[in-house]
Amino acid sequence: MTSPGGVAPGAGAPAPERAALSRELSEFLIELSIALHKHAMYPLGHPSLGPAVGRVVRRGEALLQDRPSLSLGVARNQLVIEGVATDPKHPVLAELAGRLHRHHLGAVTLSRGIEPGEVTDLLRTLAVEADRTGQPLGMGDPAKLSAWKHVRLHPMTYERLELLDRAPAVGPDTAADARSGDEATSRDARVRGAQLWIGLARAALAGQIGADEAPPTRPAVIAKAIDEHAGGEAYDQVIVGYLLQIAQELKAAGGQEALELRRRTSRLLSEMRPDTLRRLIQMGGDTAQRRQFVLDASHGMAVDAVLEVVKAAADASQHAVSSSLMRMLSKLAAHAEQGTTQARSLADHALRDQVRSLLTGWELEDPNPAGYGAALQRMSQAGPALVAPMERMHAAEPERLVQMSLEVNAVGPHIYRACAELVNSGRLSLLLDLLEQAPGTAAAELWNRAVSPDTVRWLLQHEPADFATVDRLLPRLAAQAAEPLLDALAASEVRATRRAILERLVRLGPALGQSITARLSDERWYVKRNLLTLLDLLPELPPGFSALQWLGDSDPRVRLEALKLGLKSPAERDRVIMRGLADTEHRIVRLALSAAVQGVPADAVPHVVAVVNNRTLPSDMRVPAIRLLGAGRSPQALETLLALADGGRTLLGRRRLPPKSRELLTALAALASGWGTEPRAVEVLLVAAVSSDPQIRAATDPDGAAG
Amino acid sequence: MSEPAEFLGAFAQALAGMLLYAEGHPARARGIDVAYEELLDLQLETPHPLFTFLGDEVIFGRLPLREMRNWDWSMRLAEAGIQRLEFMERVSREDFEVFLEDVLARVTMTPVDTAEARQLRPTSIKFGAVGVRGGAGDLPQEEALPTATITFSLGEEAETIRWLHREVQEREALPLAEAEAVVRSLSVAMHGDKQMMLPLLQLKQFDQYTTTHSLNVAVLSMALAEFLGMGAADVRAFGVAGLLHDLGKVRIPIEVLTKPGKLTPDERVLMNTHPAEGARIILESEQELDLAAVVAYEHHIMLNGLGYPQVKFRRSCHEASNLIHVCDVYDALRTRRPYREAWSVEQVLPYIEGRAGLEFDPAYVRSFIAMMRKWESQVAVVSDERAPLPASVAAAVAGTAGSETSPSSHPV
Repeated sequence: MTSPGGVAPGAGAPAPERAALSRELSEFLIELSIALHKHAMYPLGHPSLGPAVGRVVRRGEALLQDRPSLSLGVARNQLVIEGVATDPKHPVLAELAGRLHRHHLGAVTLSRGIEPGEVTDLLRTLAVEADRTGQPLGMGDPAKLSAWKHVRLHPMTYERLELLDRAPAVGPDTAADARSGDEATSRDARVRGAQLWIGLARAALAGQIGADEAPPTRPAVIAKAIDEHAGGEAYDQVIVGYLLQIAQELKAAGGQEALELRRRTSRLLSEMRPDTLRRLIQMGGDTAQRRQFVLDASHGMAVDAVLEVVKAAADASQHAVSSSLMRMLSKLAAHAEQGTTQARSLADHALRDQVRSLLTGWELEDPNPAGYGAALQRMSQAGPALVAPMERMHAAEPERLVQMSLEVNAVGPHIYRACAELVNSGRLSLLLDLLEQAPGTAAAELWNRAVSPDTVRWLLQHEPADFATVDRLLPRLAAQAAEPLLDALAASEVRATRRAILERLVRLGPALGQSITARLSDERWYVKRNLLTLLDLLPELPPGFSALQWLGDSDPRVRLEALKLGLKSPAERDRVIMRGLADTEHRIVRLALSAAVQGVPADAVPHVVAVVNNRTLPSDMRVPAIRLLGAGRSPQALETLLALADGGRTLLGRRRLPPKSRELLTALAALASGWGTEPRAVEVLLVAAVSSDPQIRAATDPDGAAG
Repeated sequence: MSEPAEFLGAFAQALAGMLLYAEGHPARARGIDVAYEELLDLQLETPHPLFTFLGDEVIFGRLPLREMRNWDWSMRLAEAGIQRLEFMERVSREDFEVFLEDVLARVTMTPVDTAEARQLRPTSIKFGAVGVRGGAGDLPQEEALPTATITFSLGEEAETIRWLHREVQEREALPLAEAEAVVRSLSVAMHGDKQMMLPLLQLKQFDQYTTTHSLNVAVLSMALAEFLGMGAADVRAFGVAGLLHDLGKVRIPIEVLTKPGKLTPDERVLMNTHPAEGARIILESEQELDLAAVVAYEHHIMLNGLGYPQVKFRRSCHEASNLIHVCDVYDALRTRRPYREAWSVEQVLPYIEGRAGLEFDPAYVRSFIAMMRKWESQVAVVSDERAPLPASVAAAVAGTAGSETSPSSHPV
């Protein structure tokens, strides 16, 4: 596609870091397409036309503020603007390109100062569908193309190109095209190639030829122009844009035309000074774009051009290509150009393949040891996803590589990958077997890589967990194993697994305490319960730990564990007992009662009394509570015990005992042992002492108090 | 008993002693000393003794040694391809011992240590098969073979390999791209014509051995892999592995590597480290060369576990190692040494076949022999790496296998 005028040298279009269409340009093109579409749809004077033209003019003026002119190159379904091609799949822009292309236009140039009137006229002219009239603008009166002051249309100018003169479409590819009835495609390819070359020539010679002047198309002239140009990012970007387009075109195109374009491009690149090509490639975007460019070049350009591009791209990317490699590539290129028929094809393929391989090497700039860690990370997250299948059938087995590594005491990326493969395929224990047998720095290095918290995490991820292997790792990991073990403890739904994990966590010792307390804020009851259990199993509690917070937990299982823990702390013991006695959960109350045997806090007596008086509670809770009251000697205790032993009075007014029960016997014993001289207690005890029931009588014996 | 007969007797005694006793044993050294002294005595009267063994007949100079008729060793030597034995002046004790070891290897079909035997040492003893000049000789005559036609020189490949070795030596960097490019280029050379071609370089300077040998082993390995129907990626990987199999030699001091005489035990230990060194270099590189590392490490390990290095973890060798081991030995034996001609194909292939199951994987031996039989007319030995091969090359004549010929290549 042509780009008359191109971008003026030094024009101040800010150079985008990537060769992508800027938002401003993109929006302008969309507005232009919309306006054109509306002019095709609506009659003159329709109210929607004026605003559409206004938007085109506004956006155009904004763009032309820092450019003297703006040119759109035209292809069948895409536009090239400032060296960047639009997406051929973009419906609006592809429609605009198609409409212009059907008019046989190669380019549109807008100059600073565009006016609404001329834009309206332009749009009306272009809106007439060329297919319908059979009179494409580009093939009609040239005066029509330059009828406006600030707008210029350019016809497809491939008549300037020698390649078309020499292309009678008789090559095998074009013949095949014709046979398949795809002549239109073939023709389009020819046109695209021609347009690209003309466009490149115009862009390269921007400022040296007039907008209507046909550019010289000889590669040497274009190369010289590019060499001698002072540079400027915008200029370079346009050139690179065309080179990219040509590379892409050559990738897909075939036939005599493609061959010609390929030759021209090769000639151009070989004529260009090396530093010029390097400069252009540096300008061509980031590493990925550069790589893509070289890849496209390696696909479609002639082999000598590929070599030039590789050299320049290597320089631009700070990748050294040795003279030896260049010699080999050159040799392949020579065979590809001049060898026997068979050799040409093989060498061509080999060269391009080698370039691709080289580029892959550039991608792997950092064959990082961290890759192994990442592999393990993936394993832990995604399970035993296998390493990418080998392209080769006869690759070295990972086990062999590790064995060899240990024998020669050397490691490297191969070995890290081999280790990851072993782990990934469930053969970690085999890897450990090997490592355990091998002293040396290589083994130490592999130990460090094989034995990581991620490894433990991965081993515990599936049921049944592989504790045999975990146990081989723990001595090396020590405290580092805490986190994955705690994770597994939280996640496991199998009691046996949790128990096994707890055992192993306990072995890690008090250092674990901080990790546990940090996790106690977890919302899940079972996590909190397990963590509290774990704390309980540790030889000592973490400094500053208080169980009281979890005695208020909504889940009784958590409270129960918290109570056990709290009882271990002398400073909190009384408060813990009180909270336990006040709990609604029987197991917790029982435990609190048991703990209180060592001494009932004074403030706890009301809670004990409440237990005693709650007749809905089972006997095995109330009896210990009664004992506690007996041991406490408090007035409230006495009153409660007396109430328990009070069976009312007979008709004759004599005191009597309630029916025999464990509670009664325990209360009598408590009174006998604690209040033997207290008058009211004595009165009750005397009644009991004459009871016909030997157990009741025995309960009054202060030395052998029953209960 | 005449001086020549006394020498031959001592010679046979020395060989027998070497068969019986391991290296370093006093009896072995004593046997060699006695034979060497007998040789020196003989050379007092006959400075260039020349023996010919034809069946049960022993000829000294031009005269049959009647007293040695039906001498056991005459037949054995002749069968092993040692029909002519010729001593120059000033044979050193060291050269003599090396010579005896080489004779022994041929006679007993013991493994040839390609790491050592491949060196071109200046020596003053020559031996080999004999033929009748201008007529059919006793040496199995190689037929005039169809012309092998390739239009490639191997100069760039050889130069790139030398550069690669220097890079490894000086910068500790292993340039994979260059190695791959060499392999690709060799592949183009192999397939550049309608029929398969095996371009093999001929050694010209002894200090270029590793380069020449690496290149040849790469070609043979790729050819065999292809013969076995492997895919392109595997063939290429085998080629790179063949190319780099002796990479560890860059860490062997040049004076040991090119030592003209017999290696001392310490030097041999050093030389035997080259497989591990090669593996180490490759493993520590950042390139995808796992197979090459394995082959570099295992290519001197025999099928029966003997050889070197001694591995800590017992295992069988990788198939690539087994395949390349065959190619390695083949090329080493086909290399000419000053004191003997290169073994002919007709000598090397039976040797390899005889070691199948002991040193070599029988499957690869069978395949290699089948390949060489099938493609023997397509083997082109390039004596000058720089010169492109002419479009057609005259067939070589028998008895010159491995020797330089003009024009610069000949079929084998």
